Amino acid sequence: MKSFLILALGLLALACTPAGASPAPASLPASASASESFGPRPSSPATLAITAPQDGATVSGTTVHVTMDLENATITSSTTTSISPDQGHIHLYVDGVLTSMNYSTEQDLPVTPGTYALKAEFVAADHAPFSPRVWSNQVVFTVK
Amino acid sequence: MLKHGSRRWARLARALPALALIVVGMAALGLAQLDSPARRLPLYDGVVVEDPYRYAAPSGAQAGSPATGESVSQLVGTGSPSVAISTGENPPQAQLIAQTGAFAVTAGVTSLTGTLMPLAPTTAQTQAGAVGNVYRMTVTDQNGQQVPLATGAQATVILRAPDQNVQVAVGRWDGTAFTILPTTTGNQADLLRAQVDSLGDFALVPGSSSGPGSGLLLLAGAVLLALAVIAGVVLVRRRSAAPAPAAPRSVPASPRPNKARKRRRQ
Repeated sequence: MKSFLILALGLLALACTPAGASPAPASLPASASASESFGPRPSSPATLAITAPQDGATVSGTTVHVTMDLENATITSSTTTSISPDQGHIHLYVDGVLTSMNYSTEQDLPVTPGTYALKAEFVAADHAPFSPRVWSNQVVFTVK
Repeated sequence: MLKHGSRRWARLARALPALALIVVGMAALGLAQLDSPARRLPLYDGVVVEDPYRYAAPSGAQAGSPATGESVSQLVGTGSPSVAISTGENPPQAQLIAQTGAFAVTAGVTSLTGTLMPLAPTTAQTQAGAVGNVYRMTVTDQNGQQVPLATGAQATVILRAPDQNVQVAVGRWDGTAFTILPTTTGNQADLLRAQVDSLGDFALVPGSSSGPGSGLLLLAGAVLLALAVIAGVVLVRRRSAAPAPAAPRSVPASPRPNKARKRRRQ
């Protein structure tokens, strides 16, 4: 009975994994172009800028409040392969590491004392980048 | 014979819910396949695969061709602008980050060019324990003249470890040996950060790092917590399953009627 149940639960878990989902989906390396890894990708009219913290800012506390200005595009909450050039998500990178995937233009990031480089990217609704990639300005800030 | 058959039916009846669950699971599997055919592009949502560490002098199956990093910043006003340079891997193998005003710019300087150059460790550097590539970090002005860090100013050097399981720290090469710098872990356990007051050649060398960002420490804590919870649950279950204390001998305990015996009597 137990083995039947385990088998059945295993099958259910397998069924809940979409066939198209890769077991280890990759983010695009910063050095690669979007078309190298994903085939032809659409361009986007979007522009993205980090408005806070400001470049050179010194902040204190355990979080830093990040705000961005996104123009010519909107943020969609859905993740889908049916993509549109003016809809997508924002990925935040701290020191070159993908730190958060945003569904808004504001985010609180946990931080520890140190100096950090922050940049953001507007990506399509499938979380893959546009071509050319839509990067924000890079901001250097210090946490005391 | 009849008894044997009825036992089989009883067993089958007991297994029916599980069989039904298997059928439901298979149906869900089929529906999931229909909804998301294998040829469709996967959704990239949350899991990031790191590039392998790229060696300047690879051996065996090691990946080669490490990326360089370069950034040009124009001066606005008198102080130096913020500088953030990283090599092209994901995540970068080397980074240099400096706040505004960190570099000692002189009159006439209009731009700063920061460069991160991966180098194969020399024999002396290998003997001194260099792990992975040596990175030459320089900042020059528009004429190619080196621009040093201002007195009292510091920059952040971040190096990625080729192997997370080796304890390393950031070291600065002084021509004959590495000076180990106080090192902390960054966003990831394999990203080592150090504050430097001058640029030059940097590499990871055997040493220890610390910092609240240590993923290994967090993982170890989580594992210990999980083990403590499991141990607690097992202990509680054992205690609740333990037999009740025996009754005093002077009072003869009345045996509980056994269901099987009851059946036989009937």
